[in-house]
Amino acid sequence: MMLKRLLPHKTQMLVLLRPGFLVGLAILLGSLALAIFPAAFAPFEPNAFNYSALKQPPSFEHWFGTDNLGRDTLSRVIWAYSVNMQMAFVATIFALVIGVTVGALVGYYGGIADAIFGRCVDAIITFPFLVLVIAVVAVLGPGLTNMYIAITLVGWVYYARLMRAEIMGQMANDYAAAGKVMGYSDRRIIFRHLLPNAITPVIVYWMTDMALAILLGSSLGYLGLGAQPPQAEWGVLIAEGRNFITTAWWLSLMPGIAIVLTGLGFSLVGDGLADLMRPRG
Amino acid sequence: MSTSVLATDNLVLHFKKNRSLIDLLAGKPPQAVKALNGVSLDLKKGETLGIVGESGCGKSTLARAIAGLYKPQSGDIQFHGVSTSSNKGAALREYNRRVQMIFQDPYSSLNPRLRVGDMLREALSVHNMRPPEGIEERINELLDLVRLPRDAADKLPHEFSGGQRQRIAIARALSVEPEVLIADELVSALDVSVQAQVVNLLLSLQDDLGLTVLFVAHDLRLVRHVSHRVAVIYLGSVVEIGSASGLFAKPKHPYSQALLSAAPSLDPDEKGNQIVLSGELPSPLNIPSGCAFHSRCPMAEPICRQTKPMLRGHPESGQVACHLVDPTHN
Repeated sequence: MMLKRLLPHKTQMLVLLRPGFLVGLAILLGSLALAIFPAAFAPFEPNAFNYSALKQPPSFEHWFGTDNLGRDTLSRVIWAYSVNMQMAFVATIFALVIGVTVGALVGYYGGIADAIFGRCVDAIITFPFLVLVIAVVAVLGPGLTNMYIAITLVGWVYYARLMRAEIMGQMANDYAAAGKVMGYSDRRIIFRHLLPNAITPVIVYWMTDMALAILLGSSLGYLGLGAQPPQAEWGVLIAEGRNFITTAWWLSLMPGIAIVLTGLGFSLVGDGLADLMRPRG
Repeated sequence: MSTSVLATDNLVLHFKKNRSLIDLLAGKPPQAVKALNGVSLDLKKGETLGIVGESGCGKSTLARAIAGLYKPQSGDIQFHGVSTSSNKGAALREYNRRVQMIFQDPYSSLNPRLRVGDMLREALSVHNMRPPEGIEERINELLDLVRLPRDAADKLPHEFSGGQRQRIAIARALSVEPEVLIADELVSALDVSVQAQVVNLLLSLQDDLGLTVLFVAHDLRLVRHVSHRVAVIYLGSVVEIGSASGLFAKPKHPYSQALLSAAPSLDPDEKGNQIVLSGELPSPLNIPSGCAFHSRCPMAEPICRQTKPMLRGHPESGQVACHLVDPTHN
């Protein structure tokens, strides 16, 4: 029911044929395939040492070269897809759900709750995002789970702020008042009427936020606060290659390209969705 | 004798203006937009009561307050003689069902993501108007009632014109089988060519279903056409109320006279007798003392500045709030 109403009108489906959207979609689907079935694509075990092939440059056997322990970089980048794509989703989904719910309620009811919410948001966004997340991870301890908790704790505010503004904008329309006159419950008006009309910018922001989450996750991995070695994760891989950057450039460059490509995929799809989900007249 | 369905008793509604910090420090008193200042009206079964007045006089606020969208500071709304001020939960829902409203702008009053059928289905099922198996049939009946094709149920609002959208809004309001319909500027957002269509639909539905209608509009000729009785509002107070024919033929209150004389006429002989009021409409933040109209009234006398005139019965079957209109003769 909900899905049916979020789906666009036939003519808007043309957006799907735009090259930018198609490229983005192809990248995302490819990334998803790699994330779900890394074993099917990776030519080697990600953590298999091979002391006869140390720090080899890209070749036919090792497309992305090998590291100082002889591990195949391509295989490690591919295996990292499951961790990094998981980051994109897990680090954002709870923030999305919490933020949308809080933002919708605060935007609808206003009053004191809104005033308190506003001050909290101001307090949180005055800190740089990364610094705050690092502070929370420092308190909780490094590791993937704690990193997700930290990103959610800080990240929901951005969704809530966006949602609150959208709900307030939608409430200027009479259909919200009409719902009240029809005797509908507040819950029905907020979640069935206002939310589907207000959610589009949030979904678009979600797409860019997933790209940001990958960036943030790998930054924390690089700093040793996120995924821990020897787990294959792009930030960890870049950090491992840092010592050999002058002699074995491929160690850091290849996971870097994976980050850029995936981020691009999310952004392109986000743009396409923005056009696709825009309600008409 | 027709019975009163819905009555407002001395309804007062003020919107508080947010005070800035500087005002607060300077000790300025809080200000409020005085939208309704003691409105008493009653709606009789099956009639259409027209509400007229210039922009900003509180017409729409009155309509929304009666529909339950605003809570009045004081005064009461009585439905079948029962006060509604303490309504909660089921009683409030029941009141909402029986008193429906149609909004001015059909482009914003319909949820752009809901198909027409879903919109009606929702209203029917929330209020349990029909058993689940009867809902589809009722949707078709409602579409027939407002003369929309049945395949309209599968369409989204943006696929319709303004007039069609307003008819969808009427179908939605009628789906819960209300007794009172509040029409707030029903057609002012529509093209002139479809205004008549929508108004005539409303009139025929009123006859068929025995609806009581509160018709808020600024188009005087339209109000005269649809209303049995008309109330003239000035700055949140009723200044005159009476039968449509009587009031339009012979307005008693000086404001009604000025307002009605401003309506354009097609009669070429009727020109040059427009009453032009001096001054601007006073701000509803700061309503003149006594009779709110005294600052612009061509006939104002000292008493008008001091005492607010009450609505008094007039022998020609109406009520007028003016010190200078003698209730005993013309």
